[in-house]
Amino acid sequence: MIRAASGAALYYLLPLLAGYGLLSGRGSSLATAWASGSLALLALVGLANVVFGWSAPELRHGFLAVSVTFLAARGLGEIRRRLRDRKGWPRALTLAGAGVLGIALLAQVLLRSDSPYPSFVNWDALQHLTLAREMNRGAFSLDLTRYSDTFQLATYAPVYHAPLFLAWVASGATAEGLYWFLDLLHSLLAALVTFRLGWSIRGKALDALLAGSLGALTLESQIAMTGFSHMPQNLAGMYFAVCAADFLDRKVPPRELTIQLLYLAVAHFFVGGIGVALLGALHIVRALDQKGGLMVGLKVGGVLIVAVSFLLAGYNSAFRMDPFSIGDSAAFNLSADQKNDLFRHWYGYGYYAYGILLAVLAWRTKGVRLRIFCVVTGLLVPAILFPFPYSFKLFALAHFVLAPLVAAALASAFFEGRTRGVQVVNLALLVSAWFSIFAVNQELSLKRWLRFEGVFTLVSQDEMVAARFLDQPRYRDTLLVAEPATQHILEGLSGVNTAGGTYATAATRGQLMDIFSSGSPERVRVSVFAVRDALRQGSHDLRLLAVGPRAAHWMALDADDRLATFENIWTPQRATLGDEARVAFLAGSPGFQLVFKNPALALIEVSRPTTP
Amino acid sequence: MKRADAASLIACGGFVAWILAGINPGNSQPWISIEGFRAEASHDGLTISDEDDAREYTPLSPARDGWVLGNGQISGLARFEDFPFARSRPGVEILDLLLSTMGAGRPHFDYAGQAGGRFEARRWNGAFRVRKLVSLPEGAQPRRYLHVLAPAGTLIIHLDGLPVTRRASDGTARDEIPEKTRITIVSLLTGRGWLLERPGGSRAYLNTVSYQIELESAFELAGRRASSTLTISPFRRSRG
Repeated sequence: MIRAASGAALYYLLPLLAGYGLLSGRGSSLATAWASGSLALLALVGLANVVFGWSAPELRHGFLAVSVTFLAARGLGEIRRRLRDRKGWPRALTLAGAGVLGIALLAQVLLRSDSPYPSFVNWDALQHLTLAREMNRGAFSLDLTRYSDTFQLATYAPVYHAPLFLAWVASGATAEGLYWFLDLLHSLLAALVTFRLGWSIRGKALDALLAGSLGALTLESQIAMTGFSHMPQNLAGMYFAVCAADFLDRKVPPRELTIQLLYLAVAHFFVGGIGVALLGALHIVRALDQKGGLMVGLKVGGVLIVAVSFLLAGYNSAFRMDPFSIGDSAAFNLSADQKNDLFRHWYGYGYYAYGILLAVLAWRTKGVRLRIFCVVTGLLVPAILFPFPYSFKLFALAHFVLAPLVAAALASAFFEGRTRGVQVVNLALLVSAWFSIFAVNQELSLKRWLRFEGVFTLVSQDEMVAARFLDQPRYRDTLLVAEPATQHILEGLSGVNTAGGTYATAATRGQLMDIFSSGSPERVRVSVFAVRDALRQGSHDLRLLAVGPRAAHWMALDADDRLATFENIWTPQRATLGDEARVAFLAGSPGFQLVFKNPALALIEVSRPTTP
Repeated sequence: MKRADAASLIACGGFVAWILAGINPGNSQPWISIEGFRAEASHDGLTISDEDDAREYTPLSPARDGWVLGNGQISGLARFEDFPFARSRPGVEILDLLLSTMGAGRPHFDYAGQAGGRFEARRWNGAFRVRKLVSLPEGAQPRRYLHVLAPAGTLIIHLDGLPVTRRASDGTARDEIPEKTRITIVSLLTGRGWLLERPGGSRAYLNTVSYQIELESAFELAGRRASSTLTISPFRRSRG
């Protein structure tokens, strides 16, 4: 557990230390240091893997250890200097920060109380572990699809994965333990980032306290999972908020802005790309508005945004615009009713009230910077409401922006000019309400259908044990065949290769259906060897077949759902007599050798069938 | 206290009430399960078989585990857990119902897809409609029951306005309910109730031991597909 916790801490520390090490003595901001450090780590991993290749792991690791330690040592010196020279924080801000951290911790205790260490609740992480492991083996490319066929699209550069690989190797943590702490740390940091942005907006500790509390207690429980899961788009969103605070705090020099935008763009092409557009617009509008002449234009812009949002919020699902809803992505184009439902569960039933308060704040504010910020980031609202398949992923950005803006609006409406007693009562009322919404939301729209034997987890302990068994040299070059969710889990946790994991192609899924429905062992063997990995085939004569209760449940889905990548057997399942019978039937057949069995999985070595 | 402070307190209280409106843990609703068949994996692949009797369902820990079939197979209870948004079906409004089940104790967590088929739940003019659709292998017949469960203590089944008490007997007490009898399920906590609409042509039975309504012949067969639809409409009665 200590290794896992230190691995998670290293994930955040390494880029920061490397960044401060690179920019030592230049007075750059934290946002610039993080971007520089992350890009530098990616470059170092690339250099090591390209120069030393697969064949010299000691040289690769040695080079990385020396270069990263050098940068980190410089970074440590820089941080020490800054801490020595820093001006003290206002006491109210320190108290507010402690309050936010307390609320965030309380929320996480509630959220993760039935996910004891090391339960696994981050589905996407399994892909990232695969990529980090490939980096550790010496692979390097900026194109994700070159690492593993579990990546069907390159939607970001591996800037997320370089620190993951380094922190994982340096800590020696288990994969599941590392992500348990990464998710937890991400949730706490997300609350602190909204707190920080809340401070930057108007420089008021109360705003920061409200922003951090709302940020900690807002859970986008589907599609975005912003404050819950450590993943590239959420990290990009968090980084956008750090840059936004930087924009509000000072005039960012062009060189630093370039580094920030570059990192944001490669961190996630969609979320980061929109972030780049917004951040760029913020700086451009401020540059154009040196004398405040754009105030009227900004008011008009704000009114337009409200009008467009209103229209989009009310569009009828019968007239849905589905310009990009092709294949599986159509499943993520939510109707107006569905979006409304989600908003209510994330933000409370009267979430419209936030919109009204925000519009009032944007209209009445005298500060040019704040109005620019309100109007430009306000564009996220119609973007989320637009009937585009993955528009809810923009909550990765909106989560961090809406909470501080709403906080400023609430502070302005209910706190300013009031006595301390009234402020305390109002604060207690709001935080209690947000906590109630969070408690109901996390139970009903996140965990409710993801429990196994009382534990909120996507992977059972028995499946983790099976993954540890697979992590041995004998299977390093062996293709494992299983139902898609099991492939995804075992590939991520053990490093064994599968054909596409949960993103298996239709052809692979067809073979899997044959394997799990056939009554002929010979036909099963033929189908197991008919499965094709798009990148590497591995051993010619040996394959592994994993049989567990998820397979029976996957076969019970409609045929359309079995072919869909968004439909999975998400939770572990209890084994049935049917599963037992299937394992016994295969294990007793020629060409099959049972090598591992526990209540969750049986692993069977399959030898190549003789060609007639 | 200054007038402005009082106004601020009232405004903030009103605002909080607004964002909390609709979250009402005391508003329990009946759990509806649609059963009638089970899926079992065997060495020949997947088979779907008829079930003989509801007595095969043994309550393990109703507060947590759901029901388990006699042979250890998990049944496909529809607890409205079907992931409503993954399939992007307009009109599916399950979360409202989920919120409302809070008062009935800890809800069940069995995934609806476990017995095969798919569930849909819709709200239509205030009524909830639950539908299950399954593919059947050649020759298979679904058992013809829909069950409406009234969970532990918080919900009472009423027939023509008269409450039915739960029996603790080990045997099965199962009586047919006349066609014209009005079946309602009423929350002890809130006084709210639901009117059960029988699917066309089905017979209804009251099981006072498992405390459920069983609707026989509720499945419609069409080729290799079978479907069933259950409708409950909310109504309010006076507590008196």
